[in-house]
Amino acid sequence: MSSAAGSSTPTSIAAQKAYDYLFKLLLIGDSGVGKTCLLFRFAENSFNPTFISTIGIDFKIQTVEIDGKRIKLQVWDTAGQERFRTITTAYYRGAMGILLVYDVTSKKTFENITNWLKNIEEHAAEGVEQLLVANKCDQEDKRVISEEQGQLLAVHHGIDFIECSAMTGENVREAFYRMARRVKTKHESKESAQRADGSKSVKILSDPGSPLGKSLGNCC
Amino acid sequence: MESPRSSAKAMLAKLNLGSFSGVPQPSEPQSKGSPGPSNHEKALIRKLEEQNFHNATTSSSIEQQRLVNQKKEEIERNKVNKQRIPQMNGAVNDEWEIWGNALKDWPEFSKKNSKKVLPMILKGLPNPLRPMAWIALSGADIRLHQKYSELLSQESESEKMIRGDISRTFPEEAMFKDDSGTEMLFNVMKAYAVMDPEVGYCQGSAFIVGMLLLNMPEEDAFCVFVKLMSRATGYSLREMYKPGMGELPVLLYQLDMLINEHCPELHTHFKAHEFSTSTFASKWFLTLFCSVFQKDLSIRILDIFFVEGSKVIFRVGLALLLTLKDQFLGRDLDGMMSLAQKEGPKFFARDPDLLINKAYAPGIKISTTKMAKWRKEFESARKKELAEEGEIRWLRAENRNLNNRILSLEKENNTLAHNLIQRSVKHAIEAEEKILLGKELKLAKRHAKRLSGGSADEVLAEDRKDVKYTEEFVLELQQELVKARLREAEATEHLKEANERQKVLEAENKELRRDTQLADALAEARNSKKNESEAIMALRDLQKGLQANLSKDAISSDSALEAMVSAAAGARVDLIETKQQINILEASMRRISQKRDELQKEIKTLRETNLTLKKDRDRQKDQLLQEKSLRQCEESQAKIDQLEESLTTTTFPEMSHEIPVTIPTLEESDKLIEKGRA
Repeated sequence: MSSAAGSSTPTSIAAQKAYDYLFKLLLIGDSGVGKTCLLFRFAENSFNPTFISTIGIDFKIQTVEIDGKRIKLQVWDTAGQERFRTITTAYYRGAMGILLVYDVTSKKTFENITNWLKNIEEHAAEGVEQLLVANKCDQEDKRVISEEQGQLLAVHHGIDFIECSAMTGENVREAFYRMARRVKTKHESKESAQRADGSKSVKILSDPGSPLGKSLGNCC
Repeated sequence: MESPRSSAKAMLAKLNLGSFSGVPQPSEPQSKGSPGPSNHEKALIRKLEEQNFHNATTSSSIEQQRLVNQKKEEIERNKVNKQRIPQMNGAVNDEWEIWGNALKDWPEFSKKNSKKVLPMILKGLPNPLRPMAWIALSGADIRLHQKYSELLSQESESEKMIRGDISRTFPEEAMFKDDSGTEMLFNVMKAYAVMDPEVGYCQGSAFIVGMLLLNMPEEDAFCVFVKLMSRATGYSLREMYKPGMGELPVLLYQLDMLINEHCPELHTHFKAHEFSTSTFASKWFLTLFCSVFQKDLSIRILDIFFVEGSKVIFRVGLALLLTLKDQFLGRDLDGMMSLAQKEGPKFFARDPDLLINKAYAPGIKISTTKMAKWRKEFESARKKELAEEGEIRWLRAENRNLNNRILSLEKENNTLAHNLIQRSVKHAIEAEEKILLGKELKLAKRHAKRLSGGSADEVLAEDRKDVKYTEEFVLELQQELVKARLREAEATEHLKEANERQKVLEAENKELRRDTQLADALAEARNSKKNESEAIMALRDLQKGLQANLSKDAISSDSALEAMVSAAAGARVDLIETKQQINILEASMRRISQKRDELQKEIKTLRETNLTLKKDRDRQKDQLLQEKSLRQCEESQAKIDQLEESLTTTTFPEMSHEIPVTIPTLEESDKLIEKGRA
């Protein structure tokens, strides 16, 4: 998708592009829970078990339509190993929605969700939409975390919850759509509030902050 | 033979000619027209065998033998090829000879021929020499072979994670589709993690080891990897992989600066689209391009890395960006990402030399001084940032501590108030006991008074007066209580206000955390801290005031009321008891007077009998029975005396019998006291 580039105002870019909104989503969770597979299932609707480990950061684009609005989802995929947080947390701030992924066949990945939530609290924008995603729900024989446990954790932290499987595709679309809808609702209510304020309504589609934050390059 | 003085540029020019035919495998015969250089080959085999012998003296590696054999076979194959391709030149054999010579004592060679080394390596190592060359170039210590098997018998915390990544490292490569291949990769990663627990395993490193394993045996790959990780060498991959990954952002910043220096236009475009070096170049550094390019090109880059260190990553990265500059400039974020990750690497896969040549073309300059300057720049900026973050973290911690202190002070305050109440209650109970004792004394005195002749009415009147006084007192106390309660309510209101203020401050603090403007954030943090300490002071004052109030008014009045109520109840019970006692006394008095009446009647009748007997005696004055009647008279007189005596004795026991009635009253008041306490 190579659209007309150049540094025009956000409004004119939006006008030229084939979508109404651009939302940035972020996938986080322990290494091996299936973040990349979920994203691949969502973007390509297929399953590839021979992915290479995500080194650092990556992203994919998928455009969806919700309530007559075309929404371009820019989904950032992150390395799950803890030490990569040095790099990945810089991408939290620009995210409008964060999908926290764990693996129902691994207790540790479930327990670590609390740590990932702490990371969100520390690095993400306030009020960022969050969704707890339990992956690999097709592997019933290996399951160690029940749906109730997941639900309970989500309720405890006041966030939404969904179980899905990147392998079968079950609920994957639903997870991303649900997140997109939530971000859209929040975005539109914010927009109308701005309009009500009498201020000039500008469709600022992405967070102006650099994904890198202050730590790199952009300071000089 | 190459002249030692030949420049890199000349070398590159020559290399281009050589690679013109397509796939430039250095092992391929490309000699032009010269007669079969079998002498060269023989010499080379001799040298290799010498090298092998030399190696065997330091390690008993069968692999070395295998390599030599492999090389012999290859040379034989080349001979056959040569017959098919008559046009050849001596370059390949020259190269082999040079490399053979160089590898015999690489440190010495590289020192003596420092200018020759780079052009040599840019051409790529001859394939069969590569395993040996990587060991020599890196200076790997093959004595680690022994340690390797030891390390494999130990366990590492990282094993699970390594296992999870093995199948995700070169999944398309035949070697790693096979269990023995993945096991080798697992072994090397695990052995390193055991040996260097601080670094353990870092995602990305398996691609480098995988690339080593595609070219050399497991034990050698381990030794080479250890060397690449070592800080003592110029490679220092370890710094990049350590938890915290502190080196990576430095490299990314340097790359960003280099992009800006080489093509400001591209830099601006990247910045406008938030296409940062960390987004597209993290894996360049973390896998030395092994996860980016095709195998052939990755191996060539690794060859150069052994000589150049991370400089080659910057050069190759810049070459990729600058070659595809126009395409990058015409794309948005998604397009650029795909260009950097897929289309670009695919484009260069056609010809590995193209990218290598671009990377070392004069257009790309990497100044060591500038790199050092940028490193310093970045590190001081990070230090500052860390310090600021540290201050914010410190302020947050301080805030938490203060909040905890408020909580503990509140708790302390509560316990103090509780203690105070208990003490007051104890005092009240003691006072109540005193009053009760006083009352008992009064009662006892009253009894004594009555016994000594006071009338029941008087006692009753006195009791009534007592009750009246108590009721008035209770009323007064109740009014006082209402006042005290009002004061308490006010105090609670103050406390509530203080709490609200604290809440507001806490909310401010929370906002502060979110603030991107660090300076503002710090200022606000300081302000709010000040406010908070003020609030705490205020709260403390309030607590003090409250404590005082509570001790003086609320608590004392509460306990006083309790005491008064129980006193009033006690007084009422006392009154009832007194009334009952009076009733009992009246009843017993009635009984006594009845008995007295009876006794007086008996005395009367006895006196009458005595009188009649006297009359009889008079009548029978002269009779003989005079003596008898006299005796009878005396007897009846004695009986009278006895009765009179009994009258006096009966009154006393009856009266003294009343006294124990007050004793149960005491016991009951004890009970009352207990009730009051409860």
